[in-house]
Amino acid sequence: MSDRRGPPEPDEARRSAFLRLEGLSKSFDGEPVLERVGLEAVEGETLVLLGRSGSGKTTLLRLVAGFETPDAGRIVVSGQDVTTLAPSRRRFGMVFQHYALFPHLSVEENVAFGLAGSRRTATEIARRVEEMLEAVELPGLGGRRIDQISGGQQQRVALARALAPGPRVLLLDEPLSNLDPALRERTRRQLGGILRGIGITSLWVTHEQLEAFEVGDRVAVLEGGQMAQLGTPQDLYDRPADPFVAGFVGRASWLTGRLSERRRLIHEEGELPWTLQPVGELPAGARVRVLLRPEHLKLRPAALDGRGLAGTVTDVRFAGAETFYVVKLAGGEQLEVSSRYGRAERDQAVAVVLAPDAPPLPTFPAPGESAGGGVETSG
Amino acid sequence: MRRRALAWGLAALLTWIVGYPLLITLLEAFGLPGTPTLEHAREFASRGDEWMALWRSLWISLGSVTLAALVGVPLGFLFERTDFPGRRVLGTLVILPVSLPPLVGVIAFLFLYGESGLLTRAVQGLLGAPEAPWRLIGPGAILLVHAYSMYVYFYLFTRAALTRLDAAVVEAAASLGAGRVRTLSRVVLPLLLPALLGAALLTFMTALGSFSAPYLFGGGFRVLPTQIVASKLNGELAMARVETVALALVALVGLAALRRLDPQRRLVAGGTRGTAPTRRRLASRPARLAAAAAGWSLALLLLLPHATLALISFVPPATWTTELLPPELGLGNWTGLAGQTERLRPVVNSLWMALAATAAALVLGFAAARLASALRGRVGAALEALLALPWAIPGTVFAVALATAFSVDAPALGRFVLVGTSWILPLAYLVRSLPVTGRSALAGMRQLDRSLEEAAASLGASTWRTLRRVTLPRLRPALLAGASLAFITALGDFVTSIVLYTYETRPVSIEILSSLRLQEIGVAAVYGVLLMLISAAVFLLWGREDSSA
Repeated sequence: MSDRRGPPEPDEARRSAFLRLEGLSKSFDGEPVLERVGLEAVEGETLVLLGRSGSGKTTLLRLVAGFETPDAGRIVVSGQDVTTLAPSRRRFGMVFQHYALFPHLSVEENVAFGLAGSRRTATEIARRVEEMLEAVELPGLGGRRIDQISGGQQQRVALARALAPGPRVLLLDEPLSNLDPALRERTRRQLGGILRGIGITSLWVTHEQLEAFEVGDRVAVLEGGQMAQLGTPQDLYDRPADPFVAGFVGRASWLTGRLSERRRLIHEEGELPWTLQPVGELPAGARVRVLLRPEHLKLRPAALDGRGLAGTVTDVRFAGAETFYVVKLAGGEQLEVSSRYGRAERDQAVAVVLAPDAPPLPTFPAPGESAGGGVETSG
Repeated sequence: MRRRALAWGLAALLTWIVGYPLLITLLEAFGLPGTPTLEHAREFASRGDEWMALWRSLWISLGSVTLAALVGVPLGFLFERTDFPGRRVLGTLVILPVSLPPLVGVIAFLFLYGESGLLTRAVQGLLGAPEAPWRLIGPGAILLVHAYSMYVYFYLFTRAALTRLDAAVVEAAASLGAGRVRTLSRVVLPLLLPALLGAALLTFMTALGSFSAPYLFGGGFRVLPTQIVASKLNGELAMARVETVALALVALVGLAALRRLDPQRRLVAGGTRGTAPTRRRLASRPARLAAAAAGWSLALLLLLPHATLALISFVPPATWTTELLPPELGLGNWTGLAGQTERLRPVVNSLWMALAATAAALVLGFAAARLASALRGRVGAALEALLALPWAIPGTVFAVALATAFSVDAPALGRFVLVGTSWILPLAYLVRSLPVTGRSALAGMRQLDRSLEEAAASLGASTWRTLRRVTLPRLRPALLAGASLAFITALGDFVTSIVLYTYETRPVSIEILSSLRLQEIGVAAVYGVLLMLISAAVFLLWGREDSSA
């Protein structure tokens, strides 16, 4: 973001700081759940908070919503500090994990709930409700009771209810986790489309990497209450900040060795001709591990020539569009290789080579090695 | 099919002890099976005091509902939504009044707030007044006693509903801009409505059938149950039957009316599940101290009558006349009870009759619930209805119905002379206990995962072994809770006993009454404390389903 040339236009500057979280910390009963987490969301973007359970992502969302108060830090929306503002006065919409629709009200009454204090006439409210139900593709369902509509429909009523008062920010807490997998994919597209269509700034919490990549303009990976990395899905996948993110956002195999003078990996069988992309400062001779995605690797018959890493196929998993092979190298390391066409059988001796279109391979200090590799780095 | 035959047999048995006596009473109120006559009904309709009793029963019951709600609902919110030191202990203490026999509560009130009660004397002494500043008599006294014990229904139902409330629903209201008042009025209270209606129904039925408080504090103020007993003691049996029919009708109409208020009963499920709202920790020290002080003084207020009862059980006969506090205390009343068989007899009577009735109610209730949940169709519905019926019918009605049905020897018609024998009271207790044990068995059965029994069957276990090794252990907490509540009710029963007791089988409650009549307040208090201790112990040990589940 910061490498933009020239001074940003005034409009851009305001946009870039629409929702700003600064150094948010929160602990429950002395247990820290969030530690100095900060981020900025651009107006209109969908920012996904991705993390495992216990990573602090839901707590972060609840701090933004105002259901919890941070121990430290600030929450700023278009220049207004809302850190201690009551949730009912923030004008943020929220879609809850279990939807939290009011079971004693009809679909219509649910959507109209947030419009009551808005000095609108009854006809205006009715029109707005109708408009929202159309936006979520549920026209004509207004009179139904909540238990008379399906889970997917409840999901969209929850969205319509949150959007009806015209919130400044939309918060979504695992909005798809209650749907069955088939419905989830469809609803994901639908929801993403609606958000983009309205152009509302959204924070979307999920633990599913696929969901995060598909709906997120940018994704923030949280781990252990801290921000592990914030970037576009592409960034996270190709340039993960650390081994955790690398493994969390996609399939990963690792190859350990030493870094040569030419910034190549020296493996047991010698220097490999692969282009590496060291993360942080890594001196020559440092023990490192290299991230290998399944699609970065290819299998070749072992007998063909001496190239590649020799190994044996230990597992074959057919997954439709592609097939995954687990190859055990002579040194005991296991690599996962994907291929669109079946090429090897279990127990077959093969050689693993780098795919010609593979990007530079992210390279991290090996476990036990400190990030600087013993060399002083200046901040 | 064997099971279906068993179910019909059980339904017939239950009909005989539950439905049949009511039917006979209804018929005899209209002169049947002899020549049909409307004479008694006409007499009932023409007498002002009968209408007055009916009207008083109604408004006392509605007044009790209102007062109980005013105490119980805020109390439920206080204990469920805030946290303060001592909350757990107090939360248990405040439900005790409902577990104690009504008669015990009534005499405890009498000893504390009555004309020569402890507090009354204190206030009198403070004011230097020549006579008691108030008299514990009339509708006010009845309402006070009712509110004192029946708030527990509202308290418990409110707390249960609040724990079931999805916290996210409240947060959703806030995120949509609703403030506290709007969230409470538009979201929380509507969602609590089914629970509040349930509590209202329970309170209404209990107040309608309440006998001890109107009997001891009513004076000339008669409600239907006391009117019925008065008619019966005056020998106006036909009139007593008409009054009984009237009371039963009021109960059934009230039940139907309150059920109607929540016709769909859709709210109980309440949509999707979430987590319960968290308790609000009162942050500031003064607020916490205030809440704790309020909670503790409240508990003291609630327990004061029972503490008084305990104190008076140590007052030797004829030693306390005009003093503020009893001048002498001693163990005489207690040792007298232990030493004299005649004094111990009512205790033994109450214990064995309550135990027998509870055991029978447990077996019948479980069997009926098991068959009702296994068999769909008419027989299942019939069993459920028979289990629930005694709950809707006031105790006085059942007492009169049993007295009517089983005072005639006509074996061909299924009528035997049981009145005057030692069978009639356990039978009455059994009928009154059936809805308690049956309902908890049914509730437990509904929560039981059917696949557990299917798994046992697929592993080769016989029906009997499945019942013994899987079903019963899973239902244990529910059955224990039902049985202990049934036992407590039977142990302290006054309302049916006063109609049906014989001298030989007189229960503790009747003995308390005669001690009071003989001015042996110490002896009455000993019996009261005894009932109170046993009831509270049974209730605290097994009566609360959550403690054992």
